[in-house]
Amino acid sequence: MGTNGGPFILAAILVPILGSLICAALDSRRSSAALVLLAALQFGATLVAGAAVMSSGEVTLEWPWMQSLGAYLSFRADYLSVAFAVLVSGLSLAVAVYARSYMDGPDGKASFFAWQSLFSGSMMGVLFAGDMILFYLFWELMLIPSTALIVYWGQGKHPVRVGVKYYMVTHIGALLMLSGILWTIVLTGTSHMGVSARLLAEANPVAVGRIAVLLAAGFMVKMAVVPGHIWLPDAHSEAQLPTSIMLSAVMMNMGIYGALRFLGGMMPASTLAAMSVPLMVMGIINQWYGGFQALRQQELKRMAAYSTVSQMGYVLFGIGAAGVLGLKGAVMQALAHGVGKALLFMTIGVIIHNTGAHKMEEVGGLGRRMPLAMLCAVAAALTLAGAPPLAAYQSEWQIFAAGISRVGLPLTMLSIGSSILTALYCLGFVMRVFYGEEKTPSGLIADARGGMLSPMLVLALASLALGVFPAISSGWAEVAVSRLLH
Amino acid sequence: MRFQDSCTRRIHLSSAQVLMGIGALAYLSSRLAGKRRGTAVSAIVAVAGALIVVAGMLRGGQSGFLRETDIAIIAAWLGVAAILYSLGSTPDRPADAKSCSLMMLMLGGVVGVVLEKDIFSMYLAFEVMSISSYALVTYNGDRRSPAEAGVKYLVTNATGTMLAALGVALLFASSGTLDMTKLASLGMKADNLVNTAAMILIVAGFGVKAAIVPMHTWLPDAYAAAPFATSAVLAGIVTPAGLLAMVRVLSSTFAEEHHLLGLVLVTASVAAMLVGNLTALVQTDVKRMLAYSSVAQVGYMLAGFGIGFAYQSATGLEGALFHLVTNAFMKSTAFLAAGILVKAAGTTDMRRLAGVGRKEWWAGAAFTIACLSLAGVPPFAGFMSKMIIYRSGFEAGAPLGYFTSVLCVFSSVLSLGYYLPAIFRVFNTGPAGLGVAAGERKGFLTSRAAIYVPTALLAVFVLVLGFYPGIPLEHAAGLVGNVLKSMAP
Repeated sequence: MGTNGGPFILAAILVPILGSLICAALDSRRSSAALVLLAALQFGATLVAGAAVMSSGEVTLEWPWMQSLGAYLSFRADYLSVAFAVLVSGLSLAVAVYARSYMDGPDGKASFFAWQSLFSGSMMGVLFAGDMILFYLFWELMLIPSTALIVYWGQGKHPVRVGVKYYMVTHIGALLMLSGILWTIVLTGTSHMGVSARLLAEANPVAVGRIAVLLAAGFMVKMAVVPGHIWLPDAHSEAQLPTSIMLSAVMMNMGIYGALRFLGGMMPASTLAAMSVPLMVMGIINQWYGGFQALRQQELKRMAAYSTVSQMGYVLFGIGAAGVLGLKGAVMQALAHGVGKALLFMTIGVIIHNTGAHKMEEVGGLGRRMPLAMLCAVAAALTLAGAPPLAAYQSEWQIFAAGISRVGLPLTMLSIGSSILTALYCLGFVMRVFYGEEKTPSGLIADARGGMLSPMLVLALASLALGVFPAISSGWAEVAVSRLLH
Repeated sequence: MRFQDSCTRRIHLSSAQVLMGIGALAYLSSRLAGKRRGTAVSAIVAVAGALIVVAGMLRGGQSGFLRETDIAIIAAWLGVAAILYSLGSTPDRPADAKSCSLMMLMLGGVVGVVLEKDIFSMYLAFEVMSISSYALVTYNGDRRSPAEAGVKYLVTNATGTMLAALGVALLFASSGTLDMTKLASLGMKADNLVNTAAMILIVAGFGVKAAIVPMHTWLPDAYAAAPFATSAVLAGIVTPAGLLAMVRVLSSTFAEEHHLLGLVLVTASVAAMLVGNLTALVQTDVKRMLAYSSVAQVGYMLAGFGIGFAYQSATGLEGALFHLVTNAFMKSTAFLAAGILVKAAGTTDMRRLAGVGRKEWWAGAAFTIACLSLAGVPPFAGFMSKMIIYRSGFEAGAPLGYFTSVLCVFSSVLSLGYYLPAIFRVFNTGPAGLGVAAGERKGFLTSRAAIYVPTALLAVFVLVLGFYPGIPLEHAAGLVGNVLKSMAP
């Protein structure tokens, strides 16, 4: 175990968290620039930590913390956390660049960028925490900036109501998770993840099973698994667009990471195997429910929000399928969804920003006015629909293959079948918005430009790269998952 | 006579007595300094004296029931903060020298309750604390007629202390000593009428001061009537001190009844959490909301102590003591910050506080930190202490333990139902006409530093303890080791 990358793990967490204070102190233009700089530093630190992980397998940093609880101030980077951290910090950087142009109106106050930075930093903390209590602290720290962003920048009629609902529902989920964590500490006497995992293997399997259920419930609320999804559509459509991206494309990965880390990495393999079928069935329900809901939404952001519900179903199906193949598929799906969903939201943002329309019925035929935005929208739609050669088709067939080997063809067919819905709403969105008759007074509508366009093109290329060279994500995910399981 | 032995043996001055002496000195010095400078002089004497005592306690590392000095130091520190704050917030009220000295007397009482090793001395300190708190509540009240609330407070609490006095007397009658270590070695049992009565009276008597449901009815009125600085100290340390007095007496007596007593405390905690939080949900007055939330906070401590007593659980006692520490910081922060917001808005009606946090945003931030911490949200101090209490319930391994933990978690979520809207309201601009009227807040602060510095420092403690609970937590663990030793039958 090397410790060379240690300072960079801390930097990836602390730069955005402490930097948020700097953002808050500047005026709004400088603050948005500072956010870009902070996100770039965060991304760079993550990449360096990733390089250290590649050379030594795992990087850890540890100090004693609360001895009476057996808690350590422990940070750890391994293949799994780096995979997610690169996604989180990369998307944070893209969102920061995008937000600089998007939030050019009176809403773009310095505090907005400060909260965004804190939000991103707390997620890095979740990914690099090597101690369960520390994990939980960062997990809940995510809630504070995100709630503030929803409540104070909400665009609907009832931002406070939506914010309180978001906070309460996800907080209850987190408390279920906390119950599981405390129970684990009682069983093993420590909250250090590595030590605790070794001791759990010898603990009473009944208790471990119950802990797994509590933890899974907590993560599934964050992953918006029906019926824990109720906070998601409101929160994601209420927030300002850069926040929606952070919620929908970035924060959802925390639930996935938690499930992989705790259920896959800490529990004995038999525990996850016992939960396999229920998890897969819940995944299928999510796929279909989210798909149908997305299909009937008029509001652009709500459509994308329900699409997230559906996509999380695929991931959950993969986690339920377990084994190297299923978990690997889940990791790759998380990466692909992050890129695709961020891109989808960004194109929606271009439409909202440049036309002022929030609903599909208000626009049409935009393809002629904004060809570049349309290109990105098509890329996003095809990514989410799992069309080759873009990112998600690689992950989806792995998930389905794992499903077939775990529960056989019939149940997996149900899961595969929901892809039709995904294709329908994704392509439906493109058809209704970019084709057909122009409904807005023509002439003044501009295409995506500069600060908004560049992150979109980068993400579209990233999706293409992940699809054409699947070895990038597949190889990394394979190492991550096989290390996790052993 | 042994009784006289036990109360005259200690000739040396304890920190408590020094603090009380400083209180008297503060008042005298203000009389000497004359009308104009009186307040400032007494405040300086009080603050300087308290700081010297704190320094002494830090250096001395007192022996015995160790690390209770932590709680004593926190008490003294809260007093300093409250005095500074009241200097800033009540510039136009002439008689502040008296409130400074009363505050020092009250804190001397608290320190005595925490540190005295003899039940009789502890009871005396408890009385000093109570009497000065009656005076402080009615004195300088923010309301037109605080006397009504003061009378209610006095009558209920005096009844409580009387019951406690009777209990202590019966205890002495049957055991012949009031020294805690001797009592513990005697191994008292509640097997006859006198001892049973003593036990019940002690629980009920100190329970009134701790505002254990259903003996909590005086609390909202008293807190609402008192100035914010006084409420901060009352809620922060004085009310929990009642609970601490009870626990200290019980921990050295009736070891065989501890399981039963624990069950009683757990039952009381369930009632306190539910009543406190549910009533707080419907309050529109910010002070009353914080007051009812105090009832609930005492409930969490009761849960920890109850689990500790019932199942001999070190974790439970540790969690309760640590919650006492964190509560002192977060509750006083909440009251002091709310005081600034209320002064700026000119009303305690929460519906009219809309947007005031945008003008006084330091106070708004401190209020937010305090409220989230009170609701047990990480990464703030309140989470750390509540987590240990939750954990103790799981550890106990009994159905009641699980039930208590689940209920603690449930009631914490419930409490978000009033904390979150309060926070959002403070920062959100409300409908037209409900915002802060311009000019209303002019001239209410003579010295902003006097108000902001203590509030901000307390808020910083809430943050630091949330990430690094280290020292107080380890000390609480050490303290619990001693308690368990004395509890062992």
